[in-house]
Amino acid sequence: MASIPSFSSVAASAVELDVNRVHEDYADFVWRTLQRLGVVAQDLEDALQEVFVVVHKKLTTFDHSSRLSTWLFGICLRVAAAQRRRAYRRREELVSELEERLLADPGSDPEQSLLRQQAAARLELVLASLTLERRAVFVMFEIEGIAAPAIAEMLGVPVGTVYSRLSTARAEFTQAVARLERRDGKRGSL
Amino acid sequence: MTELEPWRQSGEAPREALELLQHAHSPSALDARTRARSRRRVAALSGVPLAAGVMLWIQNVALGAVLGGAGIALVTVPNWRGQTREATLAPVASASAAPRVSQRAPVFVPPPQPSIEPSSKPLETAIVARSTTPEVESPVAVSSPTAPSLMQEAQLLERARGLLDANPERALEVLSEHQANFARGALQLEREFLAISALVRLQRHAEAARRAEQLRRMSPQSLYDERLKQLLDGASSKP
Repeated sequence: MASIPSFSSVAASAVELDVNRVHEDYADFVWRTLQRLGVVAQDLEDALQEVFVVVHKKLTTFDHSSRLSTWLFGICLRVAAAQRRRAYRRREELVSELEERLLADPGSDPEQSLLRQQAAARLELVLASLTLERRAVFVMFEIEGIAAPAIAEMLGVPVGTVYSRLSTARAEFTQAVARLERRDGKRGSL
Repeated sequence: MTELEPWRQSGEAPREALELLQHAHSPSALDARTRARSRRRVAALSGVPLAAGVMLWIQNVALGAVLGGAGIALVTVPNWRGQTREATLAPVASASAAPRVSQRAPVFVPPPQPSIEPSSKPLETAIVARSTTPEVESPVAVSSPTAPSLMQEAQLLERARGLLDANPERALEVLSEHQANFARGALQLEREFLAISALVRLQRHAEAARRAEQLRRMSPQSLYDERLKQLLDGASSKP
């Protein structure tokens, strides 16, 4: 017997997608996803634009076999990976930018600001040691408190995959923290 | 599979990891100014928005015409075929059958044409059989214009459904758009259910429960009862 397409799939295929509408509905999702994937604040707007340039070019190839959010997440992953490579090349530049801003912030307690900056930098260092997929799951679950089934829906993967990525990410996170502690310990003892 | 708890709640993580996580922030939302700048750039990407709008309008009109035409054809073809048969039979039909033919005429009177489906039934049987078939409403009363509306309704709801996990707030906006355009639409119950799902995702449980109660009143003992129960029970069992 021929399978009858569900109401949902018929309606979905009939939805007229254009890049403006996708932007209207998903810009915030893309923005947050890029942050989850470690795109730094300075690069966020460019990365957002890059994602929608790809969406504009590739939207006709989207076949509704997955959720739009899943498809967009894939694009964000590639854009974030490219951003990560570029950011690595200009890491020194970013560090000096951060230092300058720290010094140029007269309203804040410089010592407190420095501690916050250091903590944020350490966290970023540890998160950067995770693969992007694991990092996204880790951030969503551990930092944003999004439940695993919702993450699975968003990424278009089974819940089991979310748990598996999370478990590996936790182990890697713990190892990276330990490495950092050892390194700091060595520095302190010198 | 047992539900995992975030480290910060379970406290099972190494102390150093927990300390580091205390400095973590959730990703920030897209602010209005950046969104507006980005929207302008995206609009520029998509060429001439007006042309795109016109194309979309033409597509929708064409779709409406096709669906409307199909709906009208579905109603008028049997009617026309009946008329044709009667027109063929009328000269030889009994006097008692004649008024029935004239009563059916006002809505749609096709020009006399040769019968395309000659009846093999005896004359009287054919007329009696026809008179017992349910009356088909006139094309004016056919709901063909609602087919595109239904499609639009479905499109809006499908759009909202796709947004539920990624952006429940936006999903609610799309559902409000549905409510504004199709307050008493054919899919209003589904709209309400999706709205409740979005509210649950936004942790607006009291509002979700209130709308669920309204939905139950709108449609007591419907298929939504069980889905609502699962949705709200699932939400209340989460921390």
